[in-house]
Amino acid sequence: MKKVHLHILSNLKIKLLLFIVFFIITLFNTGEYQTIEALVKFVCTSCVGIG
Amino acid sequence: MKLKNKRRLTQIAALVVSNLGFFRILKTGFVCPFLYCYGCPFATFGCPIGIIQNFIVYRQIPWFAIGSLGVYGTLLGRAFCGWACPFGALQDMLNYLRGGKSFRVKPFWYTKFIVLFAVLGAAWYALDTVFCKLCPSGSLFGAIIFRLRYPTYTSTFSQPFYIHMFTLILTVVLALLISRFWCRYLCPLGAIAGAFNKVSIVNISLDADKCKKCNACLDACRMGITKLEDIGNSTDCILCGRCVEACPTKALHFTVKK
Repeated sequence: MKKVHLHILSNLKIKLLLFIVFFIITLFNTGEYQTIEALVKFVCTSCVGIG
Repeated sequence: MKLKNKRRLTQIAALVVSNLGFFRILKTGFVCPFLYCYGCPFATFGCPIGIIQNFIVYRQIPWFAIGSLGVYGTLLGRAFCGWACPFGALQDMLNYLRGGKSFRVKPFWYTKFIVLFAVLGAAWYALDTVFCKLCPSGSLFGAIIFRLRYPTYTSTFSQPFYIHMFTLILTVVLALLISRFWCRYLCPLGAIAGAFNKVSIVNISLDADKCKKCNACLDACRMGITKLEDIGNSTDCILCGRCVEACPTKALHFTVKK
């Protein structure tokens, strides 16, 4: 069966490798989780159009 | 179940999950895969564009956000835009109200990348989350919901609120004229997610043997994609599957790998 969209990046191994790389980046920077949690809990008043 | 109904269900589910921060213990530090303002009093996740801007303001690299967006992107490409984003769902609804009609306009894929770099540059130079003050998604899910939640605290209307309302109304009007206008041309998160379309594990593929070149898929596309080879590959493709539904010969299908 002939498929369109052939591309070097179509290789599943490369895709999985990229996924693993990003997963490791996330995993090694979980320290930032608390910073983001604080951002979510703190309401930026100027961002929601107040003052 | 039809793909259209599945898509509506996931869009509703995404809206519910995004607002679980209603129960304060469910306000998390995870990065949202779509544009949802964490200025919303009920937000569960952090908006990736807001997080990136905040880290830029403090001259730090947002590795956790970069990694999370990479994980979402390599798994599903821009599918979150088509299947989950509440602001995208709103634009779908507007298009539905208009009877599915839209002006046929070229995709101009690069405009959202210009917006993305402008957003990052503005945060760097102004030392502020400039985009958040203009974001129409933030206007709807942040500014309006915040005022409804805290009516006494926000009894006075100020200039930033009017700016928010202006961008929201402008985007809604343009989305009524051109389907998914925001997603097509302006969404900076769409630019990041779209860049992963070529390397996403889940994608749409075309069986060239079955394709009759009738262009029913392109006619059904809400993102204005004009070439067959761009389906699933272009940064504009939100993998919503409208083309898959529209194809009379079932030449298009979702694939887990290519």
